[in-house]
Amino acid sequence: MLERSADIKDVPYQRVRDSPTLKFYSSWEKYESGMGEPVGIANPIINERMLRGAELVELRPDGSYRGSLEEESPSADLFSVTEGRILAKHLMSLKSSLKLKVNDGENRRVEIIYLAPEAGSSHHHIRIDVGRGSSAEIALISSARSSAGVPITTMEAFVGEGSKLRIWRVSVFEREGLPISWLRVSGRGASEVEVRNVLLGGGASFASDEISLIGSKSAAKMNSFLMAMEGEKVDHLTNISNNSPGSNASIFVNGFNFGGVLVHRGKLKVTREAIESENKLSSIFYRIGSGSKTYSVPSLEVEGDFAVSASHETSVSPLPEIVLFYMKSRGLNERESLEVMVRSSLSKVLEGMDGDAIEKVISEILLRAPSGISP
Amino acid sequence: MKVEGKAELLDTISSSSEAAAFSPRYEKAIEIRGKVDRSLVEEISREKREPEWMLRLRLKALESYNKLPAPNWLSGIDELDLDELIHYLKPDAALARSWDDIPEGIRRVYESLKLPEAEKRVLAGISFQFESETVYLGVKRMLEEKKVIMVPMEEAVIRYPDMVKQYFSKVFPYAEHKFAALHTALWSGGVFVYVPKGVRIPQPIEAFFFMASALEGQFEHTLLIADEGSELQFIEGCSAPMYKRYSFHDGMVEIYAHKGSKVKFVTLQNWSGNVINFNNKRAVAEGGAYVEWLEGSVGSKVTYVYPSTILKGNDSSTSIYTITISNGKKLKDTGAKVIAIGKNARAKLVSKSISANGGKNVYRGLVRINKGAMNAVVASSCDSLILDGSSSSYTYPHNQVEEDTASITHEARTGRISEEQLFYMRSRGLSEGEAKSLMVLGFMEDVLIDVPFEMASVLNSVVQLEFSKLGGMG
Repeated sequence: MLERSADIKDVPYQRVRDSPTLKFYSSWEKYESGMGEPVGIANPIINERMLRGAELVELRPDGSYRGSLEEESPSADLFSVTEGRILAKHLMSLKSSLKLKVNDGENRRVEIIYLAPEAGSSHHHIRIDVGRGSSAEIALISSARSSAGVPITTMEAFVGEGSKLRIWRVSVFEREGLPISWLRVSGRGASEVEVRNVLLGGGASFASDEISLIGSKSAAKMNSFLMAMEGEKVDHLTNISNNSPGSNASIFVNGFNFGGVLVHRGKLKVTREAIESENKLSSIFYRIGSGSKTYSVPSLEVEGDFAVSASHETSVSPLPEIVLFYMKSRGLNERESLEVMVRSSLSKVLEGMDGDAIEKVISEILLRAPSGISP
Repeated sequence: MKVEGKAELLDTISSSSEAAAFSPRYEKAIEIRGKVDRSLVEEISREKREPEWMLRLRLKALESYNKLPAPNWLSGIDELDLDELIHYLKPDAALARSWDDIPEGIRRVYESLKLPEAEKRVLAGISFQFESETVYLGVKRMLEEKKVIMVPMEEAVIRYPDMVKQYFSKVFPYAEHKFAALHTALWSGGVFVYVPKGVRIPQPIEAFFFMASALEGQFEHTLLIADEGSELQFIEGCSAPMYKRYSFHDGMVEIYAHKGSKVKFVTLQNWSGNVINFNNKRAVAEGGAYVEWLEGSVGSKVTYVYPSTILKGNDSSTSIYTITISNGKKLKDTGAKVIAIGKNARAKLVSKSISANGGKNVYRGLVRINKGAMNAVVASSCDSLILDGSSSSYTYPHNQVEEDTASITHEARTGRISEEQLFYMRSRGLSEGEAKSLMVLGFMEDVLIDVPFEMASVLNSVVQLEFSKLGGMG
């Protein structure tokens, strides 16, 4: 660990060991230049509650919060300041850590609204402890109009045996926004961890999800919807380290690129402990409009011949002609066809959330999408 | 393009294991070893009586080598100490055009590899490099009649300087990474081939590289130029005896395929188990050209190789097949790279890896579609087979699409041999080893279908040889 006084300029942005010629895909310099004392509160794009009946927590740009979480002195068990410079700056800027505890056998639903600064950076860390035989549903909602701020969150979750944790992350920004969010989850035996993302826009949005499964018969599922317009970048990382016998691990990412930059890096690591496990990573990206850039890096690490299956697949293409033809033959115009595809992709990601709020997110997407979608 | 004389090629490949079993006796003429610095590079250049421009290139590469950081993505080369290596080792043998003119100790290597028979019946030309120098060059009259140039790389530097200047280190610039720079600073040996416009060579040309000493570095440079509408097949083979200490190979292959040409490059790498093998391979394909790489990586302790094609021209295409076997405590860090620049580019990447007895296979791929590479279509697949609990497989494909009309797909699967499959085959009377060998061949079948029958047979036999250690098929 670095001491607080240490010079974090010596910490690299990111430690990359996976290619002879590639450096990194993330816009670390851009984030760093946007960091600083937070200024004001940006207008949120999503004002509706997304988890009906859930406890409400509000995170504010100055590091304060409102809601029913416990406040502790800053600490993070699953993150280290030595990992990368932006993460180090974030951890060192924390005023406190917020703790959400779900007792054995208890069920909790919490909606966390993260109010982004108009400029500068804000820092929050949340620790979630889910006891045995319990369940938790957490929604982290972050959105901002005309914000050049860098709202940063780290979340770490520990899921006890036989428990369920579902996390939604909804991040909707206009092209100035620079949100960063790291999530790390440790799931014990027979636990079920599900992470769903809707990531729209931002000058550079970074969302990283990592799940480690230990104990037997656990499950980890990630499902993400990404979208970027011209001048926007969405950078998403999904990793699962599967150490669980008889487990199931899956990652699915669906992206719509309307002339922006989409990055997805995903890794499935299947260790020797994950005997008789099933593991799959897949991603599909559609490019609509012109000038888009899409980067997909689906990695697979398999140790030993113990897993039942381990695979990954990805495709990057214009919208398939055959899909458009099918929809047109049913009387749908291009706009309506796009709406059908977006709804179809989002329905599984947002399932379980409030219907009105889902409509709000879909409206925002369609509002941004250009009128013509022919490949 | 068909390869004639399958049987002879098979003999050559299978014999490389036999050749690795003994250490040839020969006289050394020059040995340059020690710290890689300016004086060492100048000494190599002086011994080769190179023109000034080549020395300048070497020294620039050395400068890059000193500046570039050690790649942090490498593993398994902890024992590599460049300062203790012999970087240039010239045997006391002049370049021969007849077998009889080669010193007996070296000729025995040749004969054990059954290369003379292969040359006689199958090959259009052959180059044999022993340590750092080409000691034999056989060029059939057919090549001379068609005005094909096939000479040792050093000779090309002297006789065809304009062509060499145009392509050497241009397809694969030395500044790209530390080991490419090291290669260019120290290169020695290799072959230069130029195929004139419209000339098609029905038989393959082969280059064979042999390292006879421990703690030796071999840095051969192969440069192939296929002029417009020409066709060329090239086979690269390699072998080394087993020593207590390691040897280091840092070769480079540059291919320039002009408009409408076809180049097929086949490597059957069967270094002995203590060679650290680094190979830098890249091709540029102009309009309508086709480049095919077939990388069979069987031997060595550690291998790093990523055949790459830059699809520069419109309607250019490439296929890259990699088959890697890590049997035992070996690491194969391989992959394929395609960069599409021209319109309507097509690429197919197929990788098959087999890990057994603690072996590790790593696949690193890059598919990059540049803006303007309209209608590019790339399909890549990467299958791994793990035969036991101590082996492993890692896949890192990078897909970068910056053109709206392009389509790429990538799929990868890591599998194992199931108990049910084994039980079924054993119930038919096969031993476990035989059953596993058969299933390995079945696993590779779909890639073997895609390559010409003769080449598939060669690879089939290499796999059988390797997996006969599991018992059975050899």
